[in-house]
Amino acid sequence: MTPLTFTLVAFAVSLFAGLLGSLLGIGGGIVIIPALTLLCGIDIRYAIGSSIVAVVATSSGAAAAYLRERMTNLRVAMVLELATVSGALTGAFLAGKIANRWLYIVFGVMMAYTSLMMLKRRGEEAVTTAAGTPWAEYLRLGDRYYDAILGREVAYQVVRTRVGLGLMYLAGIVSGLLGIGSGALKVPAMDLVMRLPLKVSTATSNFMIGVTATASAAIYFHRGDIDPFVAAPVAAGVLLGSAAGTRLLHRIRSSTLRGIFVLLLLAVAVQMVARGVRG
Amino acid sequence: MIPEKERDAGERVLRVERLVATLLRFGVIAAFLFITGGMLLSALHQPQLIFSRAEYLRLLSPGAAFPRTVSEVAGGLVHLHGPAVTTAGILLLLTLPALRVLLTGVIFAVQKDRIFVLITFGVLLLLALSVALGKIA
Repeated sequence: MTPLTFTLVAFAVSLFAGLLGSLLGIGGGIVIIPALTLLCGIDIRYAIGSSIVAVVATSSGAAAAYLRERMTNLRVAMVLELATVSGALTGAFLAGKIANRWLYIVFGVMMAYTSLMMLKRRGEEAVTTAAGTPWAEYLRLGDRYYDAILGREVAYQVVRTRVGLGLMYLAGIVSGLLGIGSGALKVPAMDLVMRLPLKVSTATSNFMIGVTATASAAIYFHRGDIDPFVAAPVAAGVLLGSAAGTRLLHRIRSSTLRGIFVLLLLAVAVQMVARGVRG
Repeated sequence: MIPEKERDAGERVLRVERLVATLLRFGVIAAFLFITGGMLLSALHQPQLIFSRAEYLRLLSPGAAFPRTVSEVAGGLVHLHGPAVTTAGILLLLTLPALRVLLTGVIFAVQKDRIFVLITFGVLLLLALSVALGKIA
């Protein structure tokens, strides 16, 4: 491989990762890290450094569009972000004290179960609950968004805020400990538990992962893990891909999006269990 | 009918939200230009190397030189050093989500929503704490 071919390969892979990331509310590390390490022979340290830049790029590339269209629920994002960042801090403290091997297996199985739960609700376009629970009402978490497929505004309420907070704390711990899958845990928590519409869940997760990643990225940069030669084509590709993804979110049916998300969850689940079994 | 006062507040919030979206858009475009511009500068510096396998291995070898501190980036920027220009773009990109949280806090302040101003402040505080702890460890 030459610097030119690497740049082109990394750019193309990142374009796809950005598209997937902004649609599904994930960072894209599941695509970028294996591509960089296995395909291009990049050191895992720099691959992780670049993938954390990619998370910020996915989030920022989609931010302007989702914000203008009121797809992101900023109130939900801020409340849940409190729990996620606390969880990530807890995870950082627990690192090395818990056998990661079992964590990978436990969460892999949990993700597989979640994907089944999400599959059960396939065919739902934008089903929303009529009334929020007291906490959600007090924090005024309900909102509305315009669904281009349905051709109308969808108003929604939020339920089970405290369970959602608990799950976000757990998601934060897992991503702090294992460094993966925080978006893949956040979206089902918002969709299945708090009953936010799927499109709002992915857009809100997209916002949240960017915020959390900024803190990690600062640490990675300080450690010298962000190599511009590796990170540049990744960031450029992801920025363009995620901007394209925001356009696609309008045209895609929620049920199709759900289908893609189920496949993603299964892929993450298999990857986690495999890592746990290999030890 | 929506009371006039409430409608004015609603419009003010919408204006601030649009401003935040525009600001982010400019930030992302600037970061993209810096990142790709830096790549181009690196390539133009020694064009024959972009086809070199040996150069690829050298770039990936442990201890390959690239800017690792803000002052190194600033120093390289003055000389239009490719990796420094790219890293400046990456650093700009990395500030955007924090900026977004800060501006969201401003929106809540405009709405006079004390609870959410506090929540946003809490998020920023936790983020700062995790950066600080990361540097110690």
